Amino acid sequence: MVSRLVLTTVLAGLLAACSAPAPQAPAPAPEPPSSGREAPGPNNASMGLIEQARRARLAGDYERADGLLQRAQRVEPRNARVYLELSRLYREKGDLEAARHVAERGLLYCAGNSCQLLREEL
Amino acid sequence: MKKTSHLIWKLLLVAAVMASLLLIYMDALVSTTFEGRKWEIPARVFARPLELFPGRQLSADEFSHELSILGYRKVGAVTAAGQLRRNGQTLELYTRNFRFPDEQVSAQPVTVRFSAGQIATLSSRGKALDLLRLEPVHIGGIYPRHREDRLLLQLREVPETLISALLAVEDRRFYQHWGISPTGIARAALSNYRAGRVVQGGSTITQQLVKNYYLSRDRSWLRKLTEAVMALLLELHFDKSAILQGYLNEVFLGQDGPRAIHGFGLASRYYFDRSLSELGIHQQALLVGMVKGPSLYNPLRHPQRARERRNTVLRVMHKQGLINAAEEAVALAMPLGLSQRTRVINSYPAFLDLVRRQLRRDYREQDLGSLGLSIFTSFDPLLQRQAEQSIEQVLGQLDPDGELQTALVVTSFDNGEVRALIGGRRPRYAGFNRALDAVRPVGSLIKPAVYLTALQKPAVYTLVTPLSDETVQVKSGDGNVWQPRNFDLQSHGQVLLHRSLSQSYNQATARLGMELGIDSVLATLQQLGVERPQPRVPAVVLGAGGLAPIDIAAMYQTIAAGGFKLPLHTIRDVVDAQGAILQRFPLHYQREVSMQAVHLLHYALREVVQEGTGRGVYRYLPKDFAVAGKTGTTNDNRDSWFAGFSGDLMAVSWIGRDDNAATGLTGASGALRVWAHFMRTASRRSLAYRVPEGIEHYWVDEESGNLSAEGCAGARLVPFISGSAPTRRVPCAKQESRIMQWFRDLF
Repeated sequence: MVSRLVLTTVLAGLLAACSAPAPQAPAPAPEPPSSGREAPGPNNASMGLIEQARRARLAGDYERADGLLQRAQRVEPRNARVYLELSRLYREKGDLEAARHVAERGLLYCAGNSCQLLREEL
Repeated sequence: MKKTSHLIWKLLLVAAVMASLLLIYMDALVSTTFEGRKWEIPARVFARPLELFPGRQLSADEFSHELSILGYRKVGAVTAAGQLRRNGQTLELYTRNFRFPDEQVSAQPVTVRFSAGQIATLSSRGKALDLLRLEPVHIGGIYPRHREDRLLLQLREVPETLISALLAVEDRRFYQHWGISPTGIARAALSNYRAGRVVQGGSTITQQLVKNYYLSRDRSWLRKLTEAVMALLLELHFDKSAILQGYLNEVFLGQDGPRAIHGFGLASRYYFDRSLSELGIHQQALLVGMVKGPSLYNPLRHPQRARERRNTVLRVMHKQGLINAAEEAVALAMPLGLSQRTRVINSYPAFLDLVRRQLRRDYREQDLGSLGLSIFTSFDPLLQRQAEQSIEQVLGQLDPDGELQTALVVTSFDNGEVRALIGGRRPRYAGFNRALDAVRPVGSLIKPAVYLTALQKPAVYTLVTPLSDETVQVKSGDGNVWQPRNFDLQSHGQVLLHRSLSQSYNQATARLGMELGIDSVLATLQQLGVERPQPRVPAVVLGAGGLAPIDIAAMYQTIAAGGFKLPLHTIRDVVDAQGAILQRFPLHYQREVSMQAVHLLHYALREVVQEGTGRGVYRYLPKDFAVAGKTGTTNDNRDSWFAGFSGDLMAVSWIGRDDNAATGLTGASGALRVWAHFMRTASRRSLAYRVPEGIEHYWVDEESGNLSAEGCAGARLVPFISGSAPTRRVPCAKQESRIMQWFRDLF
């Protein structure tokens, strides 16, 4: 009995040094969890549509801008730039509440500079 | 004497006037009803166009499937629109011209190379493309102003053999008579006399159509007379082909539960799972034979009798010279050929049903009346195919006899679009649409609304607030006592709030619901997008009120979207014949609940699938693929539910019986499996939101919920709304490493 306890203590002592404490699941997700299925970052496809939408907005063609942004969102729903441009579009159309809510939604997907730009839309 | 004849004349005059009025009325009725049906052109409904761009997650097989339902033909060398050549992971195709609501896209040759389950390169005539949208699949035609589910046919879509057989059996003099046929009646009587049984009816096609449109099924002579008059009037106004087309779309051909099957188009789908134009002679003969008695000759219920009837029709066809002796012999030897699930042209009645309802809800009646509308929807044929496969495989295992029913709703929560919909065990058939109309208790699926109500009061509730799970009794207004029990019939003492949700404890939830008040929980449900009224009774906090899968989808859609509400919708654009957009769905997010509270709710719903009642999902999904969800089971295992989301899709799955009997399944052993099986292949993104501002993370003790520290035994990292973290601290017992634990367990 005593020898078993000693053995356990010795072995455990030896191994404790090389084992980190096991984190408890579920971990929070401040960073996207790694997964082989993740899509890559912003792609040319959605950025191209957003740029076209921006030009349409500046030209006053809000209908077209709206259609392009909805399409961009389907292509890449996690691109915060989509939400930013949508927010600017709604603000320009005078729908301030919609502009604020869409910017807020974009904050759930933003990173770096786009977070700051979205906050300015709130 | 003179007086009497005077009276007779007067009476005759009154009778004549009344008869004329009746005739005018019937005439108006006949022309308006029939005219309306005849002239309407169905709106064309399109699926979502497939967007192609480098990096898009899509396999070569999925792409090939999309092209096959678009009707692309495989060729050796691609030279014209609608052609396709596949060489392993590289596909060459020639797209078609298509007019989208916002642009005209021209046909062009395109090369798509796939690698590791995504598009590696995309080019046209040697030039790389950033983005290309393929023309969308035409998924059906609907008559927006009608309520019925019918697969309406144009006469030219109906095989000639079927029409000839129908006329040979039902109305040989159709093209000669004026609506009624004395010779036809005589001939029928003679044939029936010779055969010793009824092989022919005396009514003409026109009379049968009139009967189907306007009249009851009684056999009085007055009804017969009205029928004859109206048949004559119909013939007076419309030509034979219009009447025949009307008949082919109207005739009653069977009953499936609460729904009547009208028309050859729908009947063909229902009995054979293929379109009418794909039917063999033997199948056409069976449908023609069934006109006489759809229930009597129902091939699903009375296969032998149906076969005899079919063979009678085949013999008539031969006798009339419609088929030769060899064709007759082959057809006679064929089995009934019912519903083989091979190579079906796509038909998605459940989704079209939702499109029809949303059209009526969101568009003006006068707009829908215009001709040649095109409706662009969010329907995704690839997701639908996966949903159908998951239903078939999982239910095939759970219930090989086919007694259980099911429904599945799939949305992309970033924009609130419904992408796939299953309304029953046989998704190709337009039956009772359970996804929209099966209003059932939802059990624990409702609980997130209770916990969200609590978490929106951070001064009172956090994820680690201890709740009592002791037995509870609630007296309701009518004096009844409600005493909910836990699933395992045990009480668990004090439990932390997040664990009470992840383990789905009923007693703790009922107590919490009563503390919060039924009205606050009902208000949260509304804020989440549940529009169906719920009873104001205590049991509602455990899901006793009825909701349909689509209602639950609205609720979880809002949760999945981070607390932002968007009405679930299917219609992106409606475009009229001139190409003008009638109205577009605006992407207006509404937020009525706290983003921070929803973030905490996500934590608990992640815990459900990692440690709680929904652990079974990871028998299907890779461990590092983050999803969140909730199981639901109702009394006596009548309903099995699962609702949840990944990083791109939200899905609600239900299994139950139409007669509301027990299924023997819990949410975890039934609906969860369909959900996880579907998500495994369909979902491409793991759940990963940025943590909203105003959230802080702390290590807390699992048992007490008090502050602990990293590395202490029983410590877990939990999010709190700023300022709501616990203040009491537990002493830190250093955590034993797993290896130490392993050694201790060894001895």
